[in-house]
Amino acid sequence: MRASEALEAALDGASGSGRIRATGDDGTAEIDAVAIGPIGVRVREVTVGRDADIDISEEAEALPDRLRSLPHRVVPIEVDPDLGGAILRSRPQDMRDGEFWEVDVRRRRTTVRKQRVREDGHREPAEFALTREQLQRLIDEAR
Amino acid sequence: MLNIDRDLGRFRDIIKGRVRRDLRKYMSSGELVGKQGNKTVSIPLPQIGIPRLRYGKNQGGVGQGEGQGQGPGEGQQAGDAPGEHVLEVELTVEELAEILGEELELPRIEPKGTATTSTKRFKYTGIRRVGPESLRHMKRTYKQALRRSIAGGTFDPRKPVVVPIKDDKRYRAYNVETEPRSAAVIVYMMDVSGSMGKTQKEIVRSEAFWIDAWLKHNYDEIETRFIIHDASAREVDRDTFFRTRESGGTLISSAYKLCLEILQKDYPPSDWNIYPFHFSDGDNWSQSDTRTCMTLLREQLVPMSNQFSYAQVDSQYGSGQFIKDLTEHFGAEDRVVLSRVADRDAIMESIRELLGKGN
Amino acid sequence: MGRMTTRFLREGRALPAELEQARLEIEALARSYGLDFFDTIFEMCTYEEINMIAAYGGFPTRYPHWRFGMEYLQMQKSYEYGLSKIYEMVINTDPSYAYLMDCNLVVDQKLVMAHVFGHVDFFKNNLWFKGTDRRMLDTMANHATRIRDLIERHGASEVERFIDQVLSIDNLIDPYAMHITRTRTVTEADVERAEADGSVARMPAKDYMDSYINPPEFLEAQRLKKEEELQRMRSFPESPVRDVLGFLLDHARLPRWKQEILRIIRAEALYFAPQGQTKIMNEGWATYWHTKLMTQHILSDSEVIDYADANAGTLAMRPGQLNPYKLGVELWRHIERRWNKGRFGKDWLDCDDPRERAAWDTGAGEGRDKIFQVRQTHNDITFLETFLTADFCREMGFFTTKFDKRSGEWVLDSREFADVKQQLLQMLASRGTPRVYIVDANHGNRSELRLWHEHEGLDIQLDWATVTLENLVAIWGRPVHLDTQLEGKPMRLSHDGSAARRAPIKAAS
Repeated sequence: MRASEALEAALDGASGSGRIRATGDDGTAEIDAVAIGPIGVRVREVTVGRDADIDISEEAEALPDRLRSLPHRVVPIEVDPDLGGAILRSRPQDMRDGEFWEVDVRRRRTTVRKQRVREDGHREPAEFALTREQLQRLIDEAR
Repeated sequence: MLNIDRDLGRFRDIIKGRVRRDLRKYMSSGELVGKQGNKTVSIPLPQIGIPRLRYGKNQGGVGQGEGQGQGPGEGQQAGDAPGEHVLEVELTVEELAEILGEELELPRIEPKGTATTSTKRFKYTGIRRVGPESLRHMKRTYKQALRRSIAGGTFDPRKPVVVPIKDDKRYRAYNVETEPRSAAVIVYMMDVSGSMGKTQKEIVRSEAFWIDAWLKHNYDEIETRFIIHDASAREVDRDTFFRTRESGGTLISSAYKLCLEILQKDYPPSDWNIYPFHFSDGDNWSQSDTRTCMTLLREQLVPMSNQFSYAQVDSQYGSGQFIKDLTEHFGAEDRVVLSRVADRDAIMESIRELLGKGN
Repeated sequence: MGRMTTRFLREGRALPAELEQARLEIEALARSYGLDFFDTIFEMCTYEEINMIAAYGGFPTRYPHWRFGMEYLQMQKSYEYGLSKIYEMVINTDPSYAYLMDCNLVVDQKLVMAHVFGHVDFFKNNLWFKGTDRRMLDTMANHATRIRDLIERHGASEVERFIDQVLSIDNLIDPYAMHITRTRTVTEADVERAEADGSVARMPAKDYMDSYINPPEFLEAQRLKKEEELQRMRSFPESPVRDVLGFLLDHARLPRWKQEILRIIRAEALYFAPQGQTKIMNEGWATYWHTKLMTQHILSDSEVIDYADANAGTLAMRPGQLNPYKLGVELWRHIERRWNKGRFGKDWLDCDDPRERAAWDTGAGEGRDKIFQVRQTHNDITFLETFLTADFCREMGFFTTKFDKRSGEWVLDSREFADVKQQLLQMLASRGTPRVYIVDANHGNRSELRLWHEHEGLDIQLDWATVTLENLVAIWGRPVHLDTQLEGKPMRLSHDGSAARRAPIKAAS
């Protein structure tokens, strides 16, 4: 069973909010949920974990094409193999109402979240909603 | 004799008034920054002439000869049509700083108590009969030789050749004077990680320009050093400083460490007024690095500086976390000055924040 | 050559012996050719001094004003960039003063002297300079003293503000004003008398003859005529006034000190005006004479090469571009040749055989007399209108240019004589001041000032006009209107001191 399926199964019995984590054959999947419903979830972020290191540069390059369930592409902003991480974000021209997607890639995990630039320029996390099906796909893509 | 100096002075005042009026515009456009010479700044001033009723642009011209394409008119008639040419006026950085200070109501900086360097100056004080050949005073020497040969009757006006002998030789005498000078060093640090784009760098460039001008106005001597950093830091020249863009992640502590190294090596706080400025979009890589930064600041960088300035330049992705962390740790520290620059229009306000304390 | 300007004599400025000798020779030679000039005093100046004097329009003393500082700065700049080199300055005074830059080569100085005598001859003899104040050196110094006084009493910024406002209209003068006396022909008293006298003119007639000699129709016509006349007398001014500054001086409600400033600026503007109207002629004339005197007589052999260089600098043109000074001197030579060969009069004009024309030479030899005559009566516009011929344009290779929008370049448009002449005259006119008249000083019966721009094909520049009107409001004290044309449409520009308006003029108004 893949982690995405394991998480789907875990969601079945869950309700309310909080972190939910599941482990599958291909690694772990975790969400920081604000609300869990029968059809969809509302989350702050989605994280996949893996057992072995990945090559940061390669991953930063490959991820934009793989992450198809996001509404638009993300592009590498900072890629730093030495630090062991990369940041990918929506391109400014795709941003609406100051909201952008951010993908935080580390050697053993990848986190997808959404951020919003407030009127005053400060940044805050934004929640986003996914159907269960979308969530599963996103986890598989981010893997 | 002629009163042109007075008219010139009045004209310069008018220019300064104009620059003051348009200061905000100049600050946000970066127009002046590109016009910087060594000691002066060239300011383009359109339409400072006397407005009169006159004709608009001519529709055609007359040429002579083979007939290559040429503009209308006679070419050499500059001065006939004020307002069509832009007058470039040179203001010294000093004058510009004055304008800045007046407009932003910046307090003058009091150099730190003992922080002065001393310079040695050679001052010629007179003439001596002994000294190194390099200081020989030719005119005096020959004068002396001439005097001697006339007195001794060996001078022949038809063959007016005088040869100085040892006794004739005269040398300049000098004293070495030590004068105290107030000196300051500015260390500019900039985050050049992927998220600092062109606009962000231009903002930093403008700010650095005005900071330079103001500190130069307050100190006899200014040195500037430049550090760029992403996850690691290196020292560069001014040009590279504003040109470089990297794609790596951001470890702010790397810049602070290098800054400390430079200061410790070249600028003992007893001799120098120290002004580190750090520009970033505030996205540090990790909270643990941020903790390292706070420690470096608290224990070393801030205590040795007159003022530590941090300006966070917003990008399209908003403003990062770092300024909040700094506020939390140093909100009450007078020598740490924080400023957020949302866009070009905020440059003036940011300058006021950074320089307004008079540290 | 440089601009015509001037200045005063100071101790220790006398010419060194070598140059004094040259001056005597050149002066004698110039007189032998019939040049007739005021005594001319040459002074040596450093580059800095000459810059200052040039900024002051050639005078050693001017009233305090920032624009002189600005000009000084510009002059220094252009010198640094190598754009312009002021060879000489000479002022229109009696005696005349000329300045030599002390770092010039001797050969340059000789050239400058010859050139200067040409200018001074022109100043003295050209009709348009007849009314100029030849004691301007003193006058300028007095103006400076007066304005310093006013500054003392009314404050520098008050005075400066008003000077700025008046300078903004100092081109609205009547260049002919020096040649006519400006008087109001109808006085207030005349109008009052006419109004009081309600009766109309009658032929003297005995009562019984009255209805026969003065029929009702006649009386009615007389009454209407009277009414019209009265209307004309009441309207103010009676006829359009070109001398706006002079009108304001007489009629604007200004405190005495402001009147004084107006008077001073008007006097200075009138003094400089003829120089602007005769630039091509005057420079051409001076160049004609320095060339003649230098090449034929004054130069020693070793100087010929230097001379060739300096002269090349003066007349050099960028390819394809017209140099008005070059145009001037060539036109003078053209006139001289024509009158020497008898190429004028009916026979010449009627002849259209090119070969006959090319060989035409009656041996008339009237060239020299002709050019002296022409320098007496013409200004640039009439000079070109009268003497620019098709032959001349062809010889000179003149053409008109236009801006090609597609290529973004200026391209050759026409070599037709009529086009070239038209374009030249228009360029000349456009460098000048638009003709503007005061037509109504009681516009709308509200004491508003209405001016009229006699549109001659070129629109005035709108942004500057707006500021100028605002300055006029400040002087006149009431709203001001300017009737002009913009892009072919009659337009009235108005300013009330706080806002500018622009409205199309309906045919009726």
